[in-house]
Amino acid sequence: MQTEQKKQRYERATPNKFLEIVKILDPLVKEWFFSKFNDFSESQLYGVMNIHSRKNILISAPTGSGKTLTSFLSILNYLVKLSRKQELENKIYCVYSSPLKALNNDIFVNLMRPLSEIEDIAKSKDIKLQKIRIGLRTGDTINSQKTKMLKNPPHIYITTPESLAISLTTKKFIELFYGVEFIIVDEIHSLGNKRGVYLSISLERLENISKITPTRIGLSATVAPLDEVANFLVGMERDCIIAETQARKKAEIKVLTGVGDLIDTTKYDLHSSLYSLIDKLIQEHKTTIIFTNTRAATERVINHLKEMFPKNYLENIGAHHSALSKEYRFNIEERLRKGELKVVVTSTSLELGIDIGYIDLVILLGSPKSSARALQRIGRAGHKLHDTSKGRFVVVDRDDLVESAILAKECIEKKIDRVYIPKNCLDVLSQQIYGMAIQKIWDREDMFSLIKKSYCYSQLTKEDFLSVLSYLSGEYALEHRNVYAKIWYDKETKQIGKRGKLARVIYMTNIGTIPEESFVTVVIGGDEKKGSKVGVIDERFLEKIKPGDVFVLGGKKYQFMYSKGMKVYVKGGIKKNPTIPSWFSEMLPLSFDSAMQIQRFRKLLNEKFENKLGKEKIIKFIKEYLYCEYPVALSIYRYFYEQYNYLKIPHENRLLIEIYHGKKNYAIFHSLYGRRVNDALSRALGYLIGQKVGRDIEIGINDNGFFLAGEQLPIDKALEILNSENLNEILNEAISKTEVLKRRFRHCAARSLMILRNYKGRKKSVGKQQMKSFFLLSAINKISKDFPILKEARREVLEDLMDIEKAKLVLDWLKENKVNIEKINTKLPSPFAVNLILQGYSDLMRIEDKIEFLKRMHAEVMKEIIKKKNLKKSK
Amino acid sequence: MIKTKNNKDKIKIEFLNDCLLIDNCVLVLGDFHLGHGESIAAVGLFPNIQTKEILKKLNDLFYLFFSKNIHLKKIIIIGDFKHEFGSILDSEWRESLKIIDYLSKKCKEIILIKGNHDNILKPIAKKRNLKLLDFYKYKGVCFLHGNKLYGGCLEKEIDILITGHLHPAISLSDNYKKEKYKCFLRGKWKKKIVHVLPSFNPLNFGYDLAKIGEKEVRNYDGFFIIEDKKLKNFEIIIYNNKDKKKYDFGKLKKLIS
Repeated sequence: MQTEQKKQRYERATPNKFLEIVKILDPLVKEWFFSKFNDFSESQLYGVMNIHSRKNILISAPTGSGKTLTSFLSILNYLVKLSRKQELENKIYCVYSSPLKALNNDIFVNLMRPLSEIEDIAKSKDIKLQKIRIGLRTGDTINSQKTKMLKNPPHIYITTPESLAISLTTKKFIELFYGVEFIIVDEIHSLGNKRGVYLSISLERLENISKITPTRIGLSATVAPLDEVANFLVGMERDCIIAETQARKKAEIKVLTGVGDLIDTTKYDLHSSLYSLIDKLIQEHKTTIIFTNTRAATERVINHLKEMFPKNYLENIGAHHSALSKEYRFNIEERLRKGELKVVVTSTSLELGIDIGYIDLVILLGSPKSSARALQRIGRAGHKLHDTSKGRFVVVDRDDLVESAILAKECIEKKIDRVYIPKNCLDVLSQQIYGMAIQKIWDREDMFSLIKKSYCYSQLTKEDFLSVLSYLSGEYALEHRNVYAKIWYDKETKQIGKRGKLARVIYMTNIGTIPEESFVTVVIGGDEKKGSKVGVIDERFLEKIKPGDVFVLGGKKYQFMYSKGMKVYVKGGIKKNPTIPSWFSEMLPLSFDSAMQIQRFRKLLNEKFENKLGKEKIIKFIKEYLYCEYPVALSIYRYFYEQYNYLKIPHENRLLIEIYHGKKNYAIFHSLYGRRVNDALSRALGYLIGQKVGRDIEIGINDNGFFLAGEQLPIDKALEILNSENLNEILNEAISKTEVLKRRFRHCAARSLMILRNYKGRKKSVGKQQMKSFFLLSAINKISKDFPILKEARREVLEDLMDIEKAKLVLDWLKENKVNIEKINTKLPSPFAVNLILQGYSDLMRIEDKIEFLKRMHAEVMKEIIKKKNLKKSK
Repeated sequence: MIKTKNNKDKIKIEFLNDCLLIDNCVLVLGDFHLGHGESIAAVGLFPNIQTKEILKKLNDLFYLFFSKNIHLKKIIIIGDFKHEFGSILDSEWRESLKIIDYLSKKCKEIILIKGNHDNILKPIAKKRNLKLLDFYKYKGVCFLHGNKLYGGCLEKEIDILITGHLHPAISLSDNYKKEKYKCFLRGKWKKKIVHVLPSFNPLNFGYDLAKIGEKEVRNYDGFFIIEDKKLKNFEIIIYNNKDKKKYDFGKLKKLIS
């Protein structure tokens, strides 16, 4: 387990004086700048001088505040000065990395323009400038362009984390990095994942190659905690200045419901009123972006709008999400910029800072699950700093209403939830070490200390490092599984280097941290609407499903009929409860911070009810507390009123457990801590209970709580055993046979290059990768439980997918009686529990052995047969 | 023991791990599908663990015979020994012979029945001097693959048909859990007693019989000699290799209703 990392606190920047900055500008740059702008923006006042004096800096400012120019102004100024003196060298001065190719294209254009304008000014003054070159390298860059770059190296090199990693292993490129002076990491707030972890080592490698210590510049949207992000940017034991601009984009935020009350309406009314509301909002504005949380929902919204309002939406509506082709997305972006689209529906792909022209309204359909994401999305409206962003939360059910209202409050009050940065990822480390070994021969200790400089690996143990080396050098003897040694590692001399002629090719074609998934299309197979597409599901879902099974997709229930090729045929309009889990569509989890805000709100409202404050006074309180309008406050009031009267309101100090006997026995935990915590708690408890009774336990999880279902549910005993010390151990056992672990193992195996996605020019389908990972996993389980990549898959499940740390915190609260458990029997699930029960179960804790199950089922069948025989006899 | 009309002797059919033993001396194996893994291994992905796994399974089986003092007179492989439709890869040739040679050491007479995947089995049979037949009769039992019915199979003297081809498996579920098991099918058809064997290949998990009746799933008629409607009246038998016992589950239609 990780030891607590020392929290760094960095210096905060103060704004510089206008004249100070003017003084450092080359006359050409100065003239150009003031031909475009009247004044420096706030972020420029904070940033330009610091970068000029080569200080590492993290600039956090909203979109449209001129961050990008802030970061480049000093650098352009420096390059122009050099080129005026004819002192520009043939090397890369500045590396710029952003996670999006589209953003890179924008930056390229936005740098070329000022440069040519500066050149024009120089020409008009008869000043001779050396040409300042800008190079763009992403996955799309063709070979001839790369060769060109080698001949005439760009002074500013624009790239993505993946392409940067490739450049770092290319001999000729490495030479161009010998004198890198600046590194810019853009959209750093979006790197709280394995891509970010990957980049963090690349930054160290770049610094290691350059003879000059490069100045690191991080650009971020509003993010928290800034000190941790700064630490991520600069790594260990380096200074950094944090520039947090004061000016905030003004936002006008509202929560809207389609109908007056979300419960007194039929599903059909709710549906049609929801889309009428959306249509009305779109028609009242020039250009609207609608954010949904899943790709499937994106398609659904478009279909419904087109169906219900065929006149309003023809060519002026589009989808933008990561499953769409590059050309398609590019076309949508282009049309947005030209103002040809009235509305774009997207999942997450338009959150980042690609230039999309003028947007005057952002609709958040369904809770965006975190205030940082909500702000980021809403900030896409009114791109310029002084514009007001207009954001509308449009809610779909009552839980969503409460959640959205709290998120809106957090946005208005500028409370940002914290980012999470994964640490000690051994799969990413494997890929990086492989890359480093290709670059040159390393002394083991040098390599280790370089890696430890990255924030994400500062706590890496020597043991884990050595076990990754063992894996990469083939000591685990996986050759007969076609996993060959990848590096050369001499234990005597402690040196590490390249192995095999194909090493570079394999590295280049398999690099990356984003897992590949494959999906099959779900299509209506009945008579009505035959062939209409309802969404996509994970390919592996097919393995689990048999005709007649009911599952949930995009909030609706479907019955599986049959499958053909990459299509699944289903029946719609099903009333039966789901018979099969649907966790495959991994949903965005509610952030712990926001969840706690809802818990607090629940407590406050509970007090009002207990103090018999009266309806109007409570509604007034809700209106003021949540900055919302009367109908919203009324709906929330009614929801809580029902819960209060039927049962009790669970809140931050009261964990309510409902025991409910439906078709099965249910224990419903009102643990509003977000899905990641609930995932951990429910599986640990489910496992303990399953062990006790020797049967499988069904688990249903959402952000607001979880339920366990089974024949017997001794929850008191399980709760007695579970605590923050043994949670890790119990969870490791509980997940050892789950689909989740297998799936994550496949991702980790691909990242660590155990499974090659691409070998000798042949691309492996996801299905084949799955097969291979299945066999690898069973082989590895026999070799060692501590195999680094398996260990990483477990870590990823426990720390990234789940939130084991916060789950421990909750268990401690229970122990310290900060949170008290109240167990109540109910005849019907309480209002707060309804959504959880309706969604069906998410996973099954497999406890019972396959053969035991066979015997039990056989006994059941025999009972039936004997019963019938006796009946016949008695006749 | 099955009493037969034509033969005075009773015929003993014993259920074993994905195979049948007849009269303590004839071993019936079905659907090896060799090369099913090989064709994947050829593209560099799938470790060819198939032969190894099959040999392991056979070894267990012969150890059982040895301990029970059973001496085999015949081994009958009822079709789809090979998987590929196309030409034989070098390694496939090698692996196939490896298994044939292993079996030849255990028993003198090996009978190969042609399956729908065996278009190219001839050279292998030739090389080891084995019979390659459409069907084979032994006492009152007729062995065939199951994709095609031959005239001789339904003659009067035949009481029992034994086929493969279908790779039967069944999902069992209660309210909480669902698991799939390979299984045998046994039932009456055209006045004969029919046994359908599961696939012997450990990498093949079988065709879930629950899908029977879902016409759209198998959109080609006549995949198997017996139509689905009739199969629903067949009995399901699961053999559990751990405790070496067979479990009767009654009629298929009861299980999938």
